Amino acid sequence: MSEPAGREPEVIHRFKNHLAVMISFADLLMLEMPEDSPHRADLAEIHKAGRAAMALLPELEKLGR
Amino acid sequence: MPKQVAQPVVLVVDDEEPIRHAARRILETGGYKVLDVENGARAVELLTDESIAVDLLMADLEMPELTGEEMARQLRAKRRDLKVLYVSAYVDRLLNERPILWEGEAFLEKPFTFEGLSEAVSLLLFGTLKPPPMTRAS
Repeated sequence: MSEPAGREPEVIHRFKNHLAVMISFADLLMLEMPEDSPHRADLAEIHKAGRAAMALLPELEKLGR
Repeated sequence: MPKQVAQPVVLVVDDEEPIRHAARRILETGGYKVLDVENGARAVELLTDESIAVDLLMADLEMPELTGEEMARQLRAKRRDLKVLYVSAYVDRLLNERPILWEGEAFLEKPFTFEGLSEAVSLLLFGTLKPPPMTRAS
């Protein structure tokens, strides 16, 4: 992805770091949580939202330019 | 049955503790031994001890003071076989500064995923998306 101009790079860098942490731990929990856990559907929503946020990053970077 | 390999050691260098924690969990789940430090100077200091084996350096490019690239350059001068996975929020920045990646180097864009990090590390170390079975070091 291209680096935006102005102060946005630092903000987007920090946002990407937070997103990496959320996505990584959601991935790990999806892997480790038992299939029949009552929390699995909730976790799947977090996991899906993380991937959706990741897919929005190019649009977010365009807004920062 | 694939041949077993010795458990590789990955050194994770990132100034953000939650990123180091996430990378450590992912890599340990994949069977790797993981060391982590918070900056390039600590990594250089750690690897002055020749008894500490490291197979792959996971280097954040956007660190204050000693950058990931400078740290990797210093470490590879001493340990020529060290593989390096550069991690960056901006692949374009890396490509501008390093249009050519040397053998044994690769990059991964943040935010990384479990699959992305696992596959990048395995590709660098073994040339395959999944690592072979490992014998755990004690």
